[in-house]
Amino acid sequence: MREPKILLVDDVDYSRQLLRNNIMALTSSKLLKHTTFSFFNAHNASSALTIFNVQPPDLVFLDIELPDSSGLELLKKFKQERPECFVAMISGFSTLENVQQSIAAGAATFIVKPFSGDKILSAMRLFEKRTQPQPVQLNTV
Amino acid sequence: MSQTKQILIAEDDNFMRTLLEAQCRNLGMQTKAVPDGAEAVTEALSYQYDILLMDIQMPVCDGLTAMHMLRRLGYDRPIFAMSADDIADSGFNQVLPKPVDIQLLADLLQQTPQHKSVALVLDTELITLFYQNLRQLSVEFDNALTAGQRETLRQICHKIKGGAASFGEATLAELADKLQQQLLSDAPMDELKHSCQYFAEFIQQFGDRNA
Repeated sequence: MREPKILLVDDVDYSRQLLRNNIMALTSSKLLKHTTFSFFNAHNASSALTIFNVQPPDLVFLDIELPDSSGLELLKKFKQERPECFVAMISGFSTLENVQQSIAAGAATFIVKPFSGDKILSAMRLFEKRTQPQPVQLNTV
Repeated sequence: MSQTKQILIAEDDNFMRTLLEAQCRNLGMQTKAVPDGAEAVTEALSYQYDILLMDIQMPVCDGLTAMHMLRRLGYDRPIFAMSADDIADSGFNQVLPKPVDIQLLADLLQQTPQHKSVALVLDTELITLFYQNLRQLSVEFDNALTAGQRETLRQICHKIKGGAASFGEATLAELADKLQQQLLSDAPMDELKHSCQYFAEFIQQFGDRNA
């Protein structure tokens, strides 16, 4: 199974680290189909866009409030570039308007902070459900 | 893991909401009730509930729209509708005719499995990092306040809000959000000084308490 790339976009360092630690814990506990992921970090929208183009991610965790742009605007750009990319929006304060706008812009799911194990697991399982795992190409010596 | 099932009830009628809550509690469930579909969506996304019991005709956002939004976002836990009308929508696990037959509801709730929760991994290193960062931001906030740097103050509020929300520090997150909004408004800095000073003291004490 190909190792999926996860892009974590949040200006708060420990929020990204918390997400990464918990996704790794889910794989260690064998609660996910994938056994490994590669992670990329972005602390603002411009850095996220650069990484998005250089290391196209399969899954993005995207905070709705970023220092240099709205997360919703960034979501639209991501979906324009690669409509198949799975984006989980994250918000500290959920309002119906945020949820509606995220759905309209193509978000696959919406996580309301504070994080919980169940929220992260639900998002990861949804990602695995909606994306077909790619078979590994074996290199025979 | 909680020993009792958790149910979220969305019902706009005060009397019905109170009655349903009492009935579900009598059935041994932990309840939370909300008065409209909008709150049902945001509350359900907390993933704390085993079951969502949803009225259809509600203000702000009706039950059908709320259910569709949740399903669109991959919400896969049971959602039961309550309606006097025939509702044919596969997004609902079942539609209960109104008025709700309590025995039918009891059977359904009993058949619904309790969700096994997964604990959040919050290691010491991460917690230490959060409080270290908060103490650093507290110093930066004081300096920016002395220098009257409004945009820097707002940016610090934003950072504190994001971190506090991630860690479930709701009061700190709300205070930071409120001040961030004030700093974004047209209100003169003189009017906001008192709020800023209060916030500066609050975050300093918050960080020191957890040093």
